[in-house]
Amino acid sequence: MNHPPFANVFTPGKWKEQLFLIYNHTTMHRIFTILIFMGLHAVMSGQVRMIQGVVTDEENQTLPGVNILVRGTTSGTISGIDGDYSIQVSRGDTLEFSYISYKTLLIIVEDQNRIDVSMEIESSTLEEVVVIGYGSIRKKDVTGAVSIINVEEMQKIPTSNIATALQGRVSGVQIINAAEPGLNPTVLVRGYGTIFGDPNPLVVIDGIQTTTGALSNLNPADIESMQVLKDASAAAIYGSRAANGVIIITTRTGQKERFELNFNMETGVQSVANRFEMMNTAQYAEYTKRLYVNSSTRFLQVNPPAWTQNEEVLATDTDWQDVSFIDGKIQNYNLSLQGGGENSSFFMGLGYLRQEGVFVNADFERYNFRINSSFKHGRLRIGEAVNIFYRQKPETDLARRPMNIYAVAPQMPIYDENNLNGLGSPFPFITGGNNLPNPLAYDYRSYVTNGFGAQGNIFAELDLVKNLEFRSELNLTFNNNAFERYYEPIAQSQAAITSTSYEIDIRNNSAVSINSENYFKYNLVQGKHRVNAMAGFTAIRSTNVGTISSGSNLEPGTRVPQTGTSSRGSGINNEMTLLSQLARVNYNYQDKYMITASIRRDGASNFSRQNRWGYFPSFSAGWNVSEEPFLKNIDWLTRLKIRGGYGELGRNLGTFLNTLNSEIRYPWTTGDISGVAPLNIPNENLRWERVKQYNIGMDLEVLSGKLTISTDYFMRFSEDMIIQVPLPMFTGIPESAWANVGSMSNNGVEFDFNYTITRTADFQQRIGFNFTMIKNKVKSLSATQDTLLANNTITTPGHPVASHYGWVVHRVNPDSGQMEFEDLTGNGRVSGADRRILGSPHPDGFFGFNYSASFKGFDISAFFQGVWGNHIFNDSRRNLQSTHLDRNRLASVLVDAFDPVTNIEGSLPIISLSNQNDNDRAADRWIERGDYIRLRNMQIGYTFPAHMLKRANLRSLRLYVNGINLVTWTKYSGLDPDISPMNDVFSLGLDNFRYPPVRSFNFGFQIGL
Amino acid sequence: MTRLYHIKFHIKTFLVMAILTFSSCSGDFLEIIPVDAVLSENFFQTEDQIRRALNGAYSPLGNRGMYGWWLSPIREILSDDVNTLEQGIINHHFFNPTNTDRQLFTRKDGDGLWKSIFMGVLRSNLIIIRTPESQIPSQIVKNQLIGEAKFLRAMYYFHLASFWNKGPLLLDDNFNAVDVRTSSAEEIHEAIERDLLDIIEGNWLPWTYDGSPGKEIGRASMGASLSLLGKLYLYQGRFQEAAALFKQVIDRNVYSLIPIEEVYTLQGDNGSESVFEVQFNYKGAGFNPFFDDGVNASESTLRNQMLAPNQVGGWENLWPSQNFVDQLDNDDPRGKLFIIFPGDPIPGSAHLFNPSLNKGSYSIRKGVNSGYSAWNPQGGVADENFPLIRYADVLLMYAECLIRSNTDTDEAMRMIDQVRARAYRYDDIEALKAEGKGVSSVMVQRNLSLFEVLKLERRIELSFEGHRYLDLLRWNDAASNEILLSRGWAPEKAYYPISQEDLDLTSLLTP
Repeated sequence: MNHPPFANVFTPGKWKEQLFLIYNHTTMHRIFTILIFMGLHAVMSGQVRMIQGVVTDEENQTLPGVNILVRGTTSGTISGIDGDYSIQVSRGDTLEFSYISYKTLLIIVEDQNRIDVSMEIESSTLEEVVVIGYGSIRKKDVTGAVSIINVEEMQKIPTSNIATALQGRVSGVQIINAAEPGLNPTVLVRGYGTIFGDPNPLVVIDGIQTTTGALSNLNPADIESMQVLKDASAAAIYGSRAANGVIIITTRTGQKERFELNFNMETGVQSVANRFEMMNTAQYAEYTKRLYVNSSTRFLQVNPPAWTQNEEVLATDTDWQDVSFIDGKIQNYNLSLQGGGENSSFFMGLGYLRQEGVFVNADFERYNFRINSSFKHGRLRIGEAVNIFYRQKPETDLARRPMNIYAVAPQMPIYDENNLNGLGSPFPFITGGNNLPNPLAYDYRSYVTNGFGAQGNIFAELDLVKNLEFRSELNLTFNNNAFERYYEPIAQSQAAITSTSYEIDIRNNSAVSINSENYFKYNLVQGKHRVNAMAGFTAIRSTNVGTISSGSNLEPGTRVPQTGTSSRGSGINNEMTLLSQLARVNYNYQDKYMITASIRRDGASNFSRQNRWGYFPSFSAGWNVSEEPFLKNIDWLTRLKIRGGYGELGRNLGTFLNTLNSEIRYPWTTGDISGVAPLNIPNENLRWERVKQYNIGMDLEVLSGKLTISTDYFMRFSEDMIIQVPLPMFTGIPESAWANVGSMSNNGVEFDFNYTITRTADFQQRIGFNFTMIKNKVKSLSATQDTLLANNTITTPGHPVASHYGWVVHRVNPDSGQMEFEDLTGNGRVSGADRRILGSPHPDGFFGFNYSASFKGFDISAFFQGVWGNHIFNDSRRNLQSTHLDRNRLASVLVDAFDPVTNIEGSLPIISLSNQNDNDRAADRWIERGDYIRLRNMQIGYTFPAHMLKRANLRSLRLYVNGINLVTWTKYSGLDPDISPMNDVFSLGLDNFRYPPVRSFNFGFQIGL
Repeated sequence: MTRLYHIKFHIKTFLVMAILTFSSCSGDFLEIIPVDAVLSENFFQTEDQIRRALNGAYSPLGNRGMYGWWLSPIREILSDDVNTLEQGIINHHFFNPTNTDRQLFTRKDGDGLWKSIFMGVLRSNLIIIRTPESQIPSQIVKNQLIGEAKFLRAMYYFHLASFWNKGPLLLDDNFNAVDVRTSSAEEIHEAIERDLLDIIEGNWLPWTYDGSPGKEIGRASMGASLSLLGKLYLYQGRFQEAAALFKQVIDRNVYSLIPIEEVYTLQGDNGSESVFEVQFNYKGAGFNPFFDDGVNASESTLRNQMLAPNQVGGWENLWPSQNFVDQLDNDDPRGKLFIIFPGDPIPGSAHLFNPSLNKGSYSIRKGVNSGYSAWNPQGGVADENFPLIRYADVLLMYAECLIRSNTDTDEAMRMIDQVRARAYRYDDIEALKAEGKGVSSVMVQRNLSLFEVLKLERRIELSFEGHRYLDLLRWNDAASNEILLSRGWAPEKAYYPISQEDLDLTSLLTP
């Protein structure tokens, strides 16, 4: 047999050398140490003989590439070109034949010398089991809107956070990404359902209820399955916590009689994908001259700053984007071990990830350790799933750094040996009024959180009597964050990042959440009836305790507050509890008719006694039409199900308490300086925010499962929405008031389409397509107020929440060069009343498209996603095009700005410090369409055939390359149309200088032993 | 047998766990009493608590939005004493109700003059309303606490009246002030007058403090209350009533003029000339307006950084106008003390002032002298207290009342001469007069009326302390001031507008 040339690379002797190369080159030696400890190349011994055979499909065509494994051992092979195989076995061994999209076959070896097998195509995905929270059911019994994520597809995208990879993968779930290393993307299930606070869904990892924040601590490689409970009837069992939907994740477990080791390695480079074209020094000098000369008045002749005439200064021309942006390396290593016996199973995972930012001090690093196992003893099952992590996350004001990079003076030299750290600095006679600091000065400031934590559960299940079991589960989430901000002084630069001494801020906090869950599960299958029920109670107590201390004027080289002349300490110490009772029943008659009903009662400590408890019911039903006699005989129709439901969900946040701020100071000479002041407004009436949701859907499967279509229509109503009502500033209250205000709806359609174009032994092709259309509309606000204005947005009945709001440009006045705005009220003057709605930040829809194919060992996939119909407030452009600031501007400003002599038709106002008409105010000229299509991921891989790997004792080996964010088609003029909101809905679609968009290329391999 | 036992054991364990969870189902589990914050309902009981609340009420004076950062130049920036290229002014941006600049209108705590004023008002209101119901046994102590709060409330409202000339008037502890209407300047003045009269008639505050904890020098005093009420009457044109109050302050003999070199310097802080000033005591440790955000007031001021010339790394946000420099007598010592002239050494640096490296031909020196200045590379924060009322101002206001009510012009001239004698470093006014530097000589030399000499004296003595623009308005001199007009001053731009954001959030407040 002729081996391809590269087969030699992985000969038994050499693969260790290969790994050793990596070992030497990486920080993963610890993982390998463990690997070597385990003696993985131990050879099985025993009474063995050789058997052989041929694997065919249903139509008697031979199947090459089928995985054949002796269960419980590492010994295995892969069928050859003609479907033939041979393998060493002992009597009583179990042979496992597996092949993608075919049913796995198990055959016990007796005395045969030859075993020919015929494999069947896995006809229906509906046999899948779906985890729905507090239990799982067969997919065919699902009556709510539940999306099952293809985890394998997603794991192809290198990411620190699985939510990032979820973008475009499933209908109804919009992901708005953040390029910043370690930052969480925004996850919106069925639209932006809340005005205030976290719009992200509840995340349940192995039964542990947490937030999307926990996804940044989870190693994506550990994930076994992931589903999204989108509608209320599915999510209602999580009641008070599920108003924004639920993502359920289960992590890997070992399989019986099968010991596997997998090692994945990936490395890549990411770089800034898109830049602004800023002025060079000559252009900026021209701009600056106009800026100052045009600002003169009769009594004040304003001369341009001296530097604009200074040949020496003008000779310096720094492209700060070139200087500041660097290529960030990505490294990701994962090692996992899994296996199991008759009564136990285990999974162990180790992960290391390092994602460097596109500038210095923006690196994200994470170590993951996971152990999942379960044991069975008679009627008792016990187990645990534990994730321990350590991570270092950059906390630098990453958003402000890019702004500084764009607007800093180009005539400032990069280096100047006379200054501290040898950096050029914005000294006024070099940079005039542009006092932005040298962007490289940020390199001397570190700002990181070291997070150490664990998230785990221990459970026990006991069969009480027939069909009835009891499960008790204790979940613990522990997070210790040590935040350290360390600044070195920056000599004589005068902008806001200046620090005048060595300074440190140290914050430490431990957040602990303990969740006890106890419930009974009842399962009954009797004749045509199938009942699946649960009832129980849960209690959660979360505490967060921490301290903050800071110091300045530190001794150089020290990083503790006490070496400085100043330090001050403060702390946090808070607690929150939630108590719930819950029950659910699924009933299925003849696999044709299904109903599900659930109820949950929740009490939350942050509401006053009279408003503390909320009830959250749901009901849904399904009808498997294809099981009816009149459809039973249609060949092409595999499955047709119609389902519908209604449910209510809740959300609690805020507080009813009236507290004082005791961090106030007034510096009396006696040192008696501490003071107190009101902090907030009490609201005894604060109560549960409620989401009521109707859902109707259909699942269709035709052509023996080759084509599946799923579609849903939903109406989601958010009521009594909790927001922090912005108070007039003249109330003097620092915090806004918590209140239940208004209602809104998110109605929409979801559509998922998956088609297997080709499915032969050698060649498979699949496409998947999904889209979602959502309409957001505010129904009402409070009785006293019909509008809510914030951040240049308006929230008012009949329109989408947080619609862009502002003036309409009339013209640039041809005499003064000032911007004029439309007098919409027609009262002869332009005032606040002349603003109108300028666009919606919510997309009309979003979609994802996936193509994947494999031919022999090669596989390729391309993934596109996009949104349409949203508007972006381009605040970055508003800043960079403002003609009234002594800052570097977009190069186009010189061409587009009004000039009384050379350009009276300019579209931008006159370049002058004088800005008499608030020219840059929020107006239609900053609103742009945010539609885009993005080739988000493209990947090419090669899986080595098993017969080549056999000699290396490898079970599998795949190499691949991929590119992320390769092409974006958009008319949006900013750097990236995919803009994550910051804290609340009022920053949705607000592009105000974000971490620049990045593109990455990666190479990786996956080895199985 | 063993196995059965095991199962039984596990069942027991389960039962125990179940019972544990059920028992925690009682309502107590959900009663959380916060330990990380002070609950308002438990506060305002003891003297110590109310003193802490009072510190809270003083503290917005040091906010970035007030004297910690912006108000120090903003008070000055509209006047003809200075030139500026600052956005807010040459843009007229401050006169735009939709501006959300952090100097005037920002929601951000500690920033914004508008919000800072009302943070002070609310904190004072709480003390005034809650103290009578506190457990403090002594009525005298209660009165003193309320008195300080009333002075502060009057001071904050005086700022509102000075810069807005109208606005919401909140006098109780009702937090939900969404249906507040806009009160006129007269209504605000009336409220200020009532508060100050309460203090004066009730004799609630002491004249002096001994400097012990709780009695710090610089707290609101009787003299400060009388002076502020006098100033209010002066602004209202009630000259005789005002004069009577100023006379009380002068006759009490607790204040005196300090050497001119010490005016608005660290040495002069809380000195005998100080009637009321904003305290800064950073001393390298405390809230720094530059770095510390939030509701906490600054304990230092950025005046140095803002006013120091570009040449030494200052921002030079404003600088003395030629017009101001032209008013100075060549031999007036205040010239060199208040201003850096070309070729003068820049204090704290090795540099000589060179106009070609700076925005202005001159630079402000007054109040920009202390050790943390931008002139040494320590950074821009400083500890000079900002003088809101000082004795020289009281003397000049008294003189103005006498002149404008035409009662006792000789007394008025004596008052002005006292200020001038100190400035020219004479021991007494007789020596001043003997050298031809007295008011009567100035009237002749410059051909000015007594009132015009008073205006000139105020302009120079109180320069760069934020009086000039308000004086111009008060004297109705703004509309004829060519420098103001050249910058686009107009009667409708005399005062700041009410924030559009607040108008948007309320139904009754009117622009």
